[in-house]
Amino acid sequence: MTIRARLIVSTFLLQVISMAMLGWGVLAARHQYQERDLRKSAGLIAMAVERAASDSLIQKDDVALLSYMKFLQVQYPAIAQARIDWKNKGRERSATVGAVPFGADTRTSRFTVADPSDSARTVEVDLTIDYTVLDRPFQDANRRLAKIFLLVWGVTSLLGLAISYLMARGLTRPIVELSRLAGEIGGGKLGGKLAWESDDELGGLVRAFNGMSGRLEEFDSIKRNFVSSVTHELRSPLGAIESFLQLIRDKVAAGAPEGFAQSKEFLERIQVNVRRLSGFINDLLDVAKIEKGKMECVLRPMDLPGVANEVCQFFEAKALQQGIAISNRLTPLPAVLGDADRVRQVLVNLVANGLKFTSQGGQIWITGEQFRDGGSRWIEITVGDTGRGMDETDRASLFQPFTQGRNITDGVSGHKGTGLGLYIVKSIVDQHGGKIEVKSAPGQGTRISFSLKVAA
Amino acid sequence: MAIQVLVIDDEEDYRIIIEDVLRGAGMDVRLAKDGEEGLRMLKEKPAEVVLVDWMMPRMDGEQFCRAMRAEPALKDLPVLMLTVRQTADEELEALHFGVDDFVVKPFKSLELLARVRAALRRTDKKAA
Repeated sequence: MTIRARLIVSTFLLQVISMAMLGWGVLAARHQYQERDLRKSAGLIAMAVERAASDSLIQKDDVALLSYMKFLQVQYPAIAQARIDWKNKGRERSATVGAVPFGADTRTSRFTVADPSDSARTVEVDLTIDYTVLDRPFQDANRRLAKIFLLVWGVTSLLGLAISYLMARGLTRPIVELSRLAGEIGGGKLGGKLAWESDDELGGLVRAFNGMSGRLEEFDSIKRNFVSSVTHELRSPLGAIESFLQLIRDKVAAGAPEGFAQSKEFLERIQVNVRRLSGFINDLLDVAKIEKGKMECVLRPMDLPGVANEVCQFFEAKALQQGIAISNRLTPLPAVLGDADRVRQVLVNLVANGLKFTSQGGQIWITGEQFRDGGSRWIEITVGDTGRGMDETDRASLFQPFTQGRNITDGVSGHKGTGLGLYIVKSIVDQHGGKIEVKSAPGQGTRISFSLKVAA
Repeated sequence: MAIQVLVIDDEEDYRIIIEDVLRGAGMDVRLAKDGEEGLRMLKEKPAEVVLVDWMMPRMDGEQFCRAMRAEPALKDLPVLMLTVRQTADEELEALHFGVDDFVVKPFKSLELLARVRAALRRTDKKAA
């Protein structure tokens, strides 16, 4: 049974039952009042008969009682029978007015009236009242009421059925749509969104679903991008190595003297490509470690300016080739707590990025500054460049894994990269307990700063 | 007279490799780092065949092809596209924007030469 059908049936049943309960309650309450009214009317009749009996005793007129009884019977059709027994000093006489109809709801009450001046003289009356007759006007009213109730009941039931159908449809339509979309997403068609706005729980569910769908699409595009980057990063150097090896083989086979000089150059190029490959594989391994939470840094007091010097020297030749000035502006600083290899990795990454996005005539520099945060002393290291900078959107996703800025290859020297470097950098800085931040604007260069704690 | 070839690739390694192979076959090779530079060089001095990489900064292989085919003097020039790998859809798309043939990286020297020569042969026939 569908949720829609269950909702309709249960709301409809609930309504029918509550209407029935209401009707029953009203009739029961009425019945209580009617019972009281019935008893009151019966009492009034009995009082009239009693008074007549008393009067006839005083006036010593037995016949008057009889005729009066007949008159009362016309007045009150509910009086079915009255049996009168006169008693006077042992003498007894009795008379009966009316007869008890068969199958009627009758109740008989007996009362005795005595002559106030002569207590030996009494009249005993067995008054039988037919409640069916007494009840008749009430029964008629009840029937009319029940008719009205049934009419109202029928109309509201139909109305309720319609309302519950509409309500159930309103409730289940977004659910049906959502399950269809979820099926589509499961089948690989990502990015489906449901146009449904409401302030209730369903609206919340639809909003959450749309958000989820959008995120999935985003992740899918990140994945595609990453796979294409990885393919390029692996194939491109491997292909170059393969081609260079083939050229070297041909030259060696030809045995021409100038071929050896060229082969040596090609071998150096092969080495550069092997380094690029192993660097990329190391990055992948680092990311795997980070994702498993196993990136560990051993913090020891280390010489930061020394490491920065090494990094600058490492990049000097490449910077010179690109026409970029690279300078280590770190003044002597107190030792910081860090994993020297990992801090070197951070600086290498940041300087390499600077070289990638800075054009000829630009500058790259490393500076350091001490600051206090709470009770501890920190050093903030900044790698700055005069490169092309980046806008807010690219800045926001800078440290996300597998993502790269838009137009990543525009006016850039060197390889496209994979979008892993700054993610690794951030993870390393996190492991050191430091903070990393970026200041950049398009055309304004980029400054990336990270903090390391001063060794106590 | 040596055959004039223009090679456009942003990766220095491939420029060196292709240059070596084609020079070795006695061709006259000129090199460009991106589509913009390649187009400029073509306008300065025509070539008989162009080898262009697909993925490049600034002006990529596709933009280069469209720009080149829009020039009346260059619209019949044979173009070989260098790619890492392309799907059938991408290949079809490339044929639509004016690529004559593909060279998939990494390639063997003989294959590169054979494809360049085949492209030249086709233009010769058309001219004749």
